[in-house]
Amino acid sequence: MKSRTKDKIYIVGFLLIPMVLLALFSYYPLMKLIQLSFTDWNGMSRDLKYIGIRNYQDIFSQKELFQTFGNNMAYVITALIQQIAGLFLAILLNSNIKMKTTFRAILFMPYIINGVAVAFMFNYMYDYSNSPINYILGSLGIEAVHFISNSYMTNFALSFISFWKYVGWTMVIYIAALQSIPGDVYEAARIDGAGFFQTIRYITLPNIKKMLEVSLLLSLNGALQVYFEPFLITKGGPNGRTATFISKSLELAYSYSKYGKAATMGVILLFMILVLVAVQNLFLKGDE
Amino acid sequence: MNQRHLSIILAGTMLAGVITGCGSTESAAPAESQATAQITETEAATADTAETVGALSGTITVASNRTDLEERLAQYAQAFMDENPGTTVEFETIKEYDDVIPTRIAGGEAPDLFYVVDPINQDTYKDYFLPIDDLEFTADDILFYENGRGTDGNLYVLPLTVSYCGMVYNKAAFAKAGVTDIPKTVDEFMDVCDKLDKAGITPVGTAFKDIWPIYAWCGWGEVTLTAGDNRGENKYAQQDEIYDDVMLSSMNIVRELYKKGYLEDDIMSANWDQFKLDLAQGKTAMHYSETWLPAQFVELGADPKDIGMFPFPGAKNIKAGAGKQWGISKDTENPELAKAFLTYMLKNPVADTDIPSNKNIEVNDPFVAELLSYGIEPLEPIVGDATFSNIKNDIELDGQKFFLTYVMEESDEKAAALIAEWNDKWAAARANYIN
Amino acid sequence: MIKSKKETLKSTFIINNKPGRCLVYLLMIFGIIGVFAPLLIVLNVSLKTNEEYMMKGVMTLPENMGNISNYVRAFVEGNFITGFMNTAILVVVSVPVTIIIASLVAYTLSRFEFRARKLVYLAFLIPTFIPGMTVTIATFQVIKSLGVYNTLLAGMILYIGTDIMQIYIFLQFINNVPVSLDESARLDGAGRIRIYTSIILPQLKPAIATTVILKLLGIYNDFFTPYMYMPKIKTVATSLYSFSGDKLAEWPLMSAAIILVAIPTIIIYIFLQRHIISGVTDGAVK
Repeated sequence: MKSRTKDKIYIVGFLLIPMVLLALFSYYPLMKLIQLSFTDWNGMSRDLKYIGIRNYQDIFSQKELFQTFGNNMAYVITALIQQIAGLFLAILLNSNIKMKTTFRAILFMPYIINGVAVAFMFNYMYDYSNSPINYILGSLGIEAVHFISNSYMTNFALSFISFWKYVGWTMVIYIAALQSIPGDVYEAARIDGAGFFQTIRYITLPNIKKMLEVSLLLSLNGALQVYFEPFLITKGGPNGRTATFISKSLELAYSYSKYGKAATMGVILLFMILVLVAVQNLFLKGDE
Repeated sequence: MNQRHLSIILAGTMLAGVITGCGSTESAAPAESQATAQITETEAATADTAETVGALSGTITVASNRTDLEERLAQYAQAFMDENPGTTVEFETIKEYDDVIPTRIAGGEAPDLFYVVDPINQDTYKDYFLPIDDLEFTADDILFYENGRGTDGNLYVLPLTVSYCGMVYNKAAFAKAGVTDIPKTVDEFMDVCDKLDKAGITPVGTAFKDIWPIYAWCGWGEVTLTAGDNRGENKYAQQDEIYDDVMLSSMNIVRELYKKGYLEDDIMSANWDQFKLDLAQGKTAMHYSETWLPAQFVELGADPKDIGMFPFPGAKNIKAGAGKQWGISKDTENPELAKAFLTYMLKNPVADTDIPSNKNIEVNDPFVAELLSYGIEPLEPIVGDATFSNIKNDIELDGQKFFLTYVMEESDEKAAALIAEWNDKWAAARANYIN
Repeated sequence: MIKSKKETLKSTFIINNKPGRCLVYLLMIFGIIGVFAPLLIVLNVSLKTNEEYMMKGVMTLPENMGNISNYVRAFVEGNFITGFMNTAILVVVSVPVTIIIASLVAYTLSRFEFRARKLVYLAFLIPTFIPGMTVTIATFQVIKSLGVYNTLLAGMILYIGTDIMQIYIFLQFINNVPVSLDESARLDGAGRIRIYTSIILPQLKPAIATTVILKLLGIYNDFFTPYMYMPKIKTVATSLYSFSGDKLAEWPLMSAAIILVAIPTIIIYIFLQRHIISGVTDGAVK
């Protein structure tokens, strides 16, 4: 009995500070976001008016807002490719090839470089008239590329930046998962004479399923929330071509003083992500 | 030679300022009469800050968007602090001013001195700024003085600078292309572009990637005043078309330039810094902007003789406008110091290349002189209200971003459809504002 | 051909045929070029003078390999010394506190029986999915009412707030520490805190190494927190951002600034890469 109450004190003591921080910096802002989504607040003034669900109605009737998800799709696709590439590299670098630790170290390196520096570096790479890439292409007699253009490909150019930075990280995560697979499973497969794809299909993938799902979820989450690259490099332009859902909501808040509506977009995005998580969880449970 | 070009004549209690543009020959008279009433400028400033304000103290923060002037601003503040021991004035330069300032105001951390950003308008000046009617200035001293009044009649904000719209061009580039005459009409302008293009020079720079640099082509105030209508953007609050023929005639010039390949090779990656270098070096010939710009080319190494300005081809008037409008935060802890510093800024231009709003300060800007030497009168907007910007925010129209879309739309029909779409939205939303 | 038994066991595949090996190495070379090419180009440009860059372009080697004038200019004009100092202070204060807090949370979740356990875990998980950009105004208000706006404390407090990733990594490790160790210690009269300091913490060493590095990188790379909540206090990332203000077209200078900012973590990485990767690997495995 006595140790029970003592434990309670410890639990409270150990969790108090982190929970307070969590409440202050995650849950209070979240509540505020939800509250503001029902108002017409302009982002500055002291008074706000509750307008019910009008923001939600507005947003669902404005198809151009959801079209920004089209731009997010480029990031989603890149995120998927990043998962596949990371896994593929992990498999290769978890085999018996020489210098694999060196290769791992090099491929992981972009992860540790400052994000602003990386963004500026690619800003340089993507500049039409100054781009070193175009310079090289030019000396090979190939026509220069418009990296930042009115075409949808601009989104891929931007999403490639995070691919470059994070593919090594993805790889390391998958190496970790691969190493947790007991060696004798592979041994058995080898004796059975299973081929490359068979081994991956029947042994590797099922065994790292949990990590696969966590990693996939996190990168999808990132792809839906993306705003940093457009913010630093294109400002959502040209022509709204690179505006993501979040950068569009920031535009609403700051260019048109519709903070309430921007908050609504934030709530909708959060809701969509939580649905995604829930669906994935259900999927996972159903399988087991 | 005197460069005093503007003087506001106030007609009774009307808030309308009417501009009398003076050619270089006429300008001497009003300026001299003002000068007699004044002690020399520097004396006035020192005498004032030292005597009338007495012992100032405290700390204020001044928020500027001029990240390029960080050091100069620090020196500027230091000069003030040297004159007023016991005070601390800190400049804070913010690149994304329009995003950061509203957040800070909402969080109760407004800088003591800042300029008007988007959500603030005449209706809401009183919520963010202190009245500054008691500063020592009147409409006789400061241009656009009356434009700084809120809906409640108090004065809240004042501009530190003024500027005039016109074509900035590189004379060396013109010479290289064999252009001798400044274009006076749009047709002549197109011919000039053609010659420049053939000489391997980019005729017109847009810096489209940064979006804002094209504001003069598509800003309602700029276009309307250039067309000789002093209602400026307020004109559109009175009609059902946000894009009328006046706007389209200006916007279509850029559309044509784009189609003919007279803009940068790749307008999507044409950024501001690169553009400035190119115009300074004569690789790009022209840019439509305002009088605050040319000095920046000289700073980048261009020969001042090579840079010039001429009125927009076919302009009925030269648009005169106030720069950023500065006010003192309602929540400042040191209103006296803030007022003293605002006064100081109004009397001592931060950068000598600025054209001060203070009429008592001599303007010796050769670029302004050149622009006005073509004999086209400057025109100043009358004071309006917030209706225009309210409707524009309501329909979520960003004129500059849309302009880029419009310019790049290849099909004329689709472009016209885009215009019609905005006009419909405008008409529908405007219905809620007229009563 | 089979090497040590252990090595083989851990491998996903045994690639023994020549073409297979060649293909793998080819891919690796491709990847290495992908990683290094942009960095080397930027490094190359950073060593050129502006004139040289204009005349000769990107691909020639700099005339003077020791031309560090761009670096000096970037370092001085960008005021990076302040940036590095402030970032260092943030790291030194926030990282250890985060580690303690996160490990205590993980310890509590792993070793204490209480009803709200799942709920607490969930409470730490959900914020991962809140789009951070959309809640800035409310966060700003909290920072402001704590009176820490525009001070280093703002960054410290925000960084100290732990996230699910750290807790997750610590949990994996603690769950692997046999409970019987706790029990026998308790029989010897050790309390909860003694058990934490003498049994749990030592076992967490690799996990701590990993989280320290991840948190350090997180703070070093973070642009948004200092930008929004302490604009007067320049960190490395915000220094670079404001340095870019009007110099974006001076590519050699910008390149030098980019390299300057990248160097510290690259150096740390060269020395610690073994620990970083193995730490992440071990930490992530359940």
